[in-house]
Amino acid sequence: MARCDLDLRHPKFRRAASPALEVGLNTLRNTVAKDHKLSRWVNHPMPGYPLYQNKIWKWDFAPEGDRSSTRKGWRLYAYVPDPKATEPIPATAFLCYDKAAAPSGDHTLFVAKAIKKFLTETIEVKTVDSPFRRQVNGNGEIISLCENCCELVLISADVADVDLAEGTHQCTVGDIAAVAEE
Amino acid sequence: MPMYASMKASETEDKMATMALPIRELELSVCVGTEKARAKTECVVFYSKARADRPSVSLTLKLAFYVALLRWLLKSLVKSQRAMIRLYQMTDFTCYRNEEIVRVAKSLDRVVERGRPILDKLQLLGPRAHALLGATVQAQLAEQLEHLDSIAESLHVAADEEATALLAMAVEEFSAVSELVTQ
Repeated sequence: MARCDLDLRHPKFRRAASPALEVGLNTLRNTVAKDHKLSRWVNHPMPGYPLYQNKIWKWDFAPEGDRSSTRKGWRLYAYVPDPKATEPIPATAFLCYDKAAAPSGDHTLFVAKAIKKFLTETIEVKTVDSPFRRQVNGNGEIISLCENCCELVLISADVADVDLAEGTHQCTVGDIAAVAEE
Repeated sequence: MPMYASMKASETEDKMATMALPIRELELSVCVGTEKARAKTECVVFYSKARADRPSVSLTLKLAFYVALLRWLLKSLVKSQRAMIRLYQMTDFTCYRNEEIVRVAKSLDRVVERGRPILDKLQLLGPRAHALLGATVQAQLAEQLEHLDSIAESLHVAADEEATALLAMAVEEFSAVSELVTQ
C-alpha cells in the first residue's frame, strides 16, 4: 500500500469547470492519499519511451454515490516524476476527461484527440526559426510534432525523411490564419 | 557483455512466459464466466417476467434456483476479474510485442462489451431479486468492468504509435513546466 500525493493545482492541468468534477477530484485525491492502487489505478504503459515508463498513472472516478453500470464519471492522467519516491509519492494531474464523451468503440482516437487538445492549449512555442519539436523514442526514431497545430508530422529514423515531411507539412493553423486575414 | 545481455534477455523472456500463462488462463476464465453469467441473467429475467405474469410455485422455484446459480456465477466472475486486474497492474507491457498488446486489449474489450449487458439486464429485476443477488457483487462487477475498460484503453493507446508519441510529447511539455514551477 503506497500513499500518493496527487497535485491538482498545476497551471497546465486541463479539466472542465464543473462543481461535481471538483468534488470528485478532491475525493480522488483523498482516496489515493491512502493507497495509490485504489480508484481503478492503471500504470499506463509507454512502449518505446523508457524515460516515461511507470511515470504515467491513471485513475477513474465517478460522481459520489453513483453505482450505475453506464460509463459515468471521469478519467484522470497524472505524471509521476519518481514512482519510487518516498511516500507519499508525488503525482501531478495533467489531463482529465468525461468518460461519457468517450465512444465505447475507438479509445485511441478519442484519447489522441484529447491529448492534441491538451497540447494545443498548453504548448509554448519556444523556437522562432522552426515550429517543429523533435523527440527521439526508445527505438531511436525521431518524432516530429508541429507546435502550431499539434499534429504529429512524422515518426522516422531517417532525418532526411523528417526534414522533408516538415518542409512539406501543411499547418492547419496557418490555413486558418490566412483565411481569417482574407 | 554479450553473455550478460543474453542472460538478461532470457530472464525477461522467462518472466514474460510465466506471466503470460496465468494471464491467458484468467482471460479464458473471465470470458467463459461472463458468457455463463450472461446466459443465466437472461434465464433469471425470463422467469422473473413469467412469474410476474403467471404466478406459480413451479416458476417461483425455477426463479429461485436460477437466482442462486447466478449469484454464485457473479461471485466467481468478480473473483476472477479481480485476480486478472491485479495481474494486469503488475504486468510490464513494454516487454510485449505490439500484436500481443492489441490482442490483450481486444480481449478486454470483449469482456467489457459482454459484461455491460449483464448489468443492464440486472436493472430489470425487482428489489427482491436484487437483494437475493446481493448489491455488493453487482457494484463490484460494475466497478471492475470500468477498470478493465480503462486498462483496455491504455493498451490500445500503447499499441498506437501516434497516440503514444503524442502522450510522450504531452508529458515532455508538462514535466518541463513542472520542473520550472518547482525551481
